[in-house]
Amino acid sequence: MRQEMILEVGGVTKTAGRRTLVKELSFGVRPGEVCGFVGPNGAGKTTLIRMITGLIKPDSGQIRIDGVDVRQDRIAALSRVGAIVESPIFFPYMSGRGNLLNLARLHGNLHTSAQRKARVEEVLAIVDLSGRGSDKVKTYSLGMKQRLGIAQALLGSPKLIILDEPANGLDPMGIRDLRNLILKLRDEQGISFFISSHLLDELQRICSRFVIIKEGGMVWQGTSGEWVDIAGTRGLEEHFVELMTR
Amino acid sequence: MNSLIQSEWQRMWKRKKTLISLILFTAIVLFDCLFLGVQRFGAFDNIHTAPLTAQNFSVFLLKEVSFLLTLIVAPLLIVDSINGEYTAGQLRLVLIRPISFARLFAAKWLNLAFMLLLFTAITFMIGEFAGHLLKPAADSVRYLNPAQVYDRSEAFIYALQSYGLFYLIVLAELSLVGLVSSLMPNALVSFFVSLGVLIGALYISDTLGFFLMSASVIFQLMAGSYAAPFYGPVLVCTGIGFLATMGVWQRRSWTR
Repeated sequence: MRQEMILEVGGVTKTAGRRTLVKELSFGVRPGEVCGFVGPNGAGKTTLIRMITGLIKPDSGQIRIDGVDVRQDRIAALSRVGAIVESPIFFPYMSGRGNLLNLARLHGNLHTSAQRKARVEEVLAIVDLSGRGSDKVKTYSLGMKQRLGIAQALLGSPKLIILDEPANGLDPMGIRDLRNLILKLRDEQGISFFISSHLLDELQRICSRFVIIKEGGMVWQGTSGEWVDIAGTRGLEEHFVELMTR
Repeated sequence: MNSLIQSEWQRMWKRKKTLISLILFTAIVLFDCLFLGVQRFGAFDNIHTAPLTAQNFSVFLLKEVSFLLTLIVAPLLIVDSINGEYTAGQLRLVLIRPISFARLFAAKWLNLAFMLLLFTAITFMIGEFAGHLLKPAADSVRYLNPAQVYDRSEAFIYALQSYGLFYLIVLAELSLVGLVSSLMPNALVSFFVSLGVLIGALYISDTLGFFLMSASVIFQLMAGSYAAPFYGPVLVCTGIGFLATMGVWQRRSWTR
């Protein structure tokens, strides 16, 4: 029997004028899986993430989240997803807690003020920001903003979290904290992740599957183990460069 | 929808720009009151005047304040809410939630409508209060149509009606500037294009002159001497602007 996918991308194409941004992309992410989404700058990673989160519509193809077609029922599909699209830009005039409380109002599963407050405290604790929750976001470091970004993604108790270049600009400690947080959420809450990044070594440490694209089209996809086997002694980075220059 | 409105309302009032606009606007209204307080006559236009009294003070205050509200404060706040939040990238956190884009715009529109009602009501209340404080009461007043005489309670209703008509114009402006702000690439361009549209409307058709000449149009309407249609164009601008912007929000690609 075919295993249900938490994210299914089927033959998705997006063009802008004469330029094809995403070309016939098809892949899936299984429940509890951390999937790395890799490609050079301008390959179409953010465009695809915008399509998955319903910000832009594909010209053709289908995107299903937990079995729900994003195009047909965007609201139902997004109720299963949390995301950081590009860098998370918060409302700088509000505290971290204030931002989360404001955004929590937009989740149908958090009806009452007490539910929203409890959920916000819960997610602040998960990302270890309870102590700084009352500070204005503009005083946060980049690492704290990324953690707050994951906190806002967790608000609706998602089954899938999409992260777009989450490690950008983070120092080694910030990257380690982020990695531990992702693994904790996967292991303890069974959340699946779809992560775009350039940091191959970092992705290798957390991802069980990879999707590699170039100029909007699929170059390779498979498990982490398969990629390591194919790359052999050259390592992932060298093999990635080879794939990009073919 | 309630949650969306509350979320928007909270963000709108947390923005410094909103509070500063309200404080500055109130200060300017008070300054205008002092200015009017030392005048003996209020002018309907270049020819027609009337002695300033406690009863007609708020109407002449509206004339002084209308440009500030329609050409600066309202466009600034509308552009900030509809374009500024999006082009700054902050709205993305809202857009990726399980909500309808059209409803999100509707929530913004309703919040802005309520906020602009607040600005209009503040002007009215300050005008009534300052009028009774700075000017003598009159048993009867005349406005642009000298044949119509209003006693005190009728003059109060006249002032309320005038502010009501002004608010209708502001709502039409909200829909129009909302549409412009949804189409323009950034807040600054949105603001100046909106100004261009509001001012240029007068040159497109006299019917649309109420955006720029709101007080003058209201005086004529209340006197029964306004020749062009008013309610139709105002309602069409409000309705079409609102629906067109909802359509834009529902269909657009959110690339910021």
